[in-house]
Amino acid sequence: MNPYILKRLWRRPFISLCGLILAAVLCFLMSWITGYIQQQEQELEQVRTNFQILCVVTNRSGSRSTSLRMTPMELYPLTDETAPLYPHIEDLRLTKEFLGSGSVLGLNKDDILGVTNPRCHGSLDPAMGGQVELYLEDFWEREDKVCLISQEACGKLRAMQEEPEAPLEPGTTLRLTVEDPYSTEVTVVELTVAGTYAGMGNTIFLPFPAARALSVELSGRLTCDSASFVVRDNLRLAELAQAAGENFGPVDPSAGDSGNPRLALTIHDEVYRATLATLEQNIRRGELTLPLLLILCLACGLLTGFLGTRGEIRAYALMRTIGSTQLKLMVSIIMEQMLLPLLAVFLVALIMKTPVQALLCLLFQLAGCILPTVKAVRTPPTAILREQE
Amino acid sequence: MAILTAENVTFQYKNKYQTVQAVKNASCSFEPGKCYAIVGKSGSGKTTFLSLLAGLEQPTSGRVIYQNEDTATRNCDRYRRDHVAVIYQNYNLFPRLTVEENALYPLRLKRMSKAESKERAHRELKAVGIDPSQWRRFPSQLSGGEQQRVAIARALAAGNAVVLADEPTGNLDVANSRQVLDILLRLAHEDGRCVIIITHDLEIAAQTDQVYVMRDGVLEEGMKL
Repeated sequence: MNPYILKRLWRRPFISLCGLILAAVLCFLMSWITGYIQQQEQELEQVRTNFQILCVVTNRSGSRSTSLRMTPMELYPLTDETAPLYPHIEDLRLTKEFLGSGSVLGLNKDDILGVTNPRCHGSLDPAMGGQVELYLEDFWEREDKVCLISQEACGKLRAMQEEPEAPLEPGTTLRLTVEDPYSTEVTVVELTVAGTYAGMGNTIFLPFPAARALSVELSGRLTCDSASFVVRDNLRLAELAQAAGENFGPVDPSAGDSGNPRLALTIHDEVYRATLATLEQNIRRGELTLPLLLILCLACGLLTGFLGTRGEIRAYALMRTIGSTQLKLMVSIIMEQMLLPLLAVFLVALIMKTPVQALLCLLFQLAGCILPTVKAVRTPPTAILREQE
Repeated sequence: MAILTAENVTFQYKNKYQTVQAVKNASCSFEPGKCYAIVGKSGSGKTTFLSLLAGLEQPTSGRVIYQNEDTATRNCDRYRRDHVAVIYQNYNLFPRLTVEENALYPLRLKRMSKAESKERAHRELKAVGIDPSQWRRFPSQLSGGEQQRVAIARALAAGNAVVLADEPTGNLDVANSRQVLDILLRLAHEDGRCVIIITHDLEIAAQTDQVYVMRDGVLEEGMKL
């Protein structure tokens, strides 16, 4: 190798710095974009697996998702294990409405709701700020007549106790006249208070098995007023849509409440698809940018190579006349061009932890600087040394 | 006994318009311990002939023989590194290296130890009259005469047996030209090297041991002036 490579680099600070900065910037960009693509891919995977797509049963016109009066036959596709739709369902949420009156709480009608789990109603759903305190651990599975009341209602009941300051006595009951809205039958029931929910509402919540039992008691059958669920596997949305199409009709604003089938299933996948599309677009853009950056690295190598050799042709010719071989000269020139970029790329790779991208960046720069190096070395020394004479 | 011989050397090259025969059947021999001059007008082929002797070009026909070996069969880079030193009219120093580094360069190429190479380079720099206070300067900070002396010191430091000087005094004033010539003559007569000077200055040629005349590519033995 020719001597004084470092000294020559040191004595050409502008070109040396150019090479260093360009290499560092390009390597950093490559590393950052690669990291960005990886991050987007991870997010894409997370969205695909974890995004909760809600499916809601509505009337055909799509205007209403409560008070649907779903019959057992209409409920079957959602609840029967052999139904084609069943494997796609997770966290099935059903509600059953009753009308109630006569309680010491001063109920209005439509205030009794049987629910399968807290996510069926905003007052109970923790994601919407609801807070539930249960006195019974298995509340949601119980078939006996237990209920949740609001803390305000609980306060009213405690006021009627002997010791109003004390917690509500266990086994406190509410005596109500309950009517199923879809039949003419009424009955008087005693509901045991088994928990409270935060807030001031008058709604009384029953666990769905209890609501089902009450519905059968009143009308001889179970009807359901709302149904929704979360998609179990987002990757099988197409299958779900197909299975849903076999039992539910498409949403048709002109259909009203009549029509066959009577109900529609709306899959709320707009946000999911939009998110996927955005992420996929980001990934595509990133992937397009990477080859461009590599071409830039090549161009950067060409540029620094030409800048570096431009004013040194005579010196290289002189080196040849003194006895330096073409190969030694080429190696020296390439080392001069690549030493500082190598340092820059190494530092960036160390900081960003992206050795592959750094290596690619370096290789393309090296490829770029080969052409000007070969051009500089292959020019006959006599032609150059004679020029100034 | 000749150390360097040219036997019927011819060199031609093609440019855009024609084929030019720069050297035509040149034959001569050069012995160590002597100083030779090759004189001729501009464009007569002197520099091309010197390039052939230095191994920078290969003859189209004929042979250049160094120590009984044809340069065409030698590794020309090694030949120039180990046996031939060239001094140019335009000094041709490395602009980004100091005076000391310029003189050390050929020794570093030969992979000589640092201590030995420094000792040799310093000796030659002093021998050509370059003061140690100037060793850390760059060529652009020296006068023309000083630069040429550094170039000579670089050529001498390598210790090569043949020194080829292409118009070494062409850009120098009279006083500096005198000094440079004295150094070259000393090289030949005291150090025993073979010194070949290309020049168009007859006064310089007159002081050498043997003159050759180049006319339109043809080399003739000149009269002793």
